[in-house]
Amino acid sequence: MVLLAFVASSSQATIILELDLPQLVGRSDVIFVGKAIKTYSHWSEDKRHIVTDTTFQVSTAVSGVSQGKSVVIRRLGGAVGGIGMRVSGAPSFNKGDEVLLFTEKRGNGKRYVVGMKQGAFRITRDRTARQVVQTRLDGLALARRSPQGRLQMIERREAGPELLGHFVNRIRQTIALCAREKTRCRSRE
Amino acid sequence: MPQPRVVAATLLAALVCVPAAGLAYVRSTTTNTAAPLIWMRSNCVHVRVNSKGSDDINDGSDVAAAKRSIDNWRKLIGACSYFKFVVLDDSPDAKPEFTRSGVNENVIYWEENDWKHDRMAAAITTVFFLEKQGDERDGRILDADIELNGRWFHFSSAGTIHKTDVENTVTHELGHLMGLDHPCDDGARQPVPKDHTGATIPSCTTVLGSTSDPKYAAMRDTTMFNFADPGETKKRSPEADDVKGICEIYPTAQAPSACEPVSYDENNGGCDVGGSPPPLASLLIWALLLGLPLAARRRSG
Repeated sequence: MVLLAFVASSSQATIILELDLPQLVGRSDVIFVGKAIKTYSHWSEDKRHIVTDTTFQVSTAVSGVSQGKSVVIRRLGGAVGGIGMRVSGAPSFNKGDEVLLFTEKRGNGKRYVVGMKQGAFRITRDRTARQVVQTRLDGLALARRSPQGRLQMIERREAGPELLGHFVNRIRQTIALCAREKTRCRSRE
Repeated sequence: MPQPRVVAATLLAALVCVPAAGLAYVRSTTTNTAAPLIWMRSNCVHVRVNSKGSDDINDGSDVAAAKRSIDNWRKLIGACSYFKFVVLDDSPDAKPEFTRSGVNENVIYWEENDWKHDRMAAAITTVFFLEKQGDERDGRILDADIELNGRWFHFSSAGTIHKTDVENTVTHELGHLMGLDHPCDDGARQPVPKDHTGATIPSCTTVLGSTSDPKYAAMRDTTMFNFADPGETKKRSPEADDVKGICEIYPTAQAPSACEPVSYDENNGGCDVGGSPPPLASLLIWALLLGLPLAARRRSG
């Protein structure tokens, strides 16, 4: 089934291009499984936005970080002193959340989830208490750039929970692929 | 025999004002208090389009398309909602920003160079609001700006395939500006939002995958639906679910009398007043309270 192309989101609302797994890997310098242990909302350095910094304790290091380390991830939105700000499409985290994150450092020196919500996979337990990731967005067809730079529709894949261990192995295999074929893992904008 | 125009108006009113089974909408909420976002104490919202428009379009049709997006909502909600857009003159200086002391301007703006958000996002609406537990103003929207990503996306005002349609995009974003959220769960929001009936919204995977359920087919056609095709134009026209949302959030029967921009003063305990000069009606009321000095002066003159 040929399907849709943009994701519009959180207040926001947002229209985002798809990143497949190699492109997520290609854009990320730090990938890990972790638990949110602290969140802190404040005005950004340029005073234009409210941002929330969430500190994660790394439980499984996939790339660019060691197990047990802390990683601070910034997102747009939050509430400070009676004022709230919201941007659609930016993933939000609560203390205690367990997630697998693809992250990148931007020009302001802060670390963000790659591709807005596309780089954040929440971890839950299945009926037998095994850790699974909700790969809903991984299964949605979104827009993609053709080699000529045009937006094009792509086929939808089936979505569903995937065992965390399987997903981490897939990511590691993709990292190895990206080391061999760098162009495969470049996102086209 | 009724005139065609009357028939059309009657049909339109019936479409948008009569509760229809199965229609659903989702409201955006505050971060922590989960209060629905809403413009308060004014029957209008002021919007200004940056006159520079998009670098991809040089004939002014980009700015015109953004304004048509406003008209798309106007013509459908006018029969049942007090919400009005006041379109201010285009300006090259209109920028997305929030001031914590003074009047805020809601803008539609193409960022061509310094896109600070994720580069995969074609458009972003940023909403500022009051978030105060237990306060009657909890959820009051103070400012909402729409930014279009001209740095990484190509825009079209003519529904050109493979490009991002301005009118389609801005009509959707305006829904967010008014306080609407997406109708299905894309995994970004925790906890998963509920629709206006209190029902947890379905996952987008279910909605996208269902080919037989008319409820999900209708959801996919709404302006506030989470996804769109490249070159898509169907979001230009809000559907019954979208209109129902605005008409129930801002019903005609509860219209505030004032049409004023929001002014916010953080140093005054967050108290807010209208940012424009008081309307004539208010002046007259004050004149009455102060002993009709205006009329008295006129008489004595």
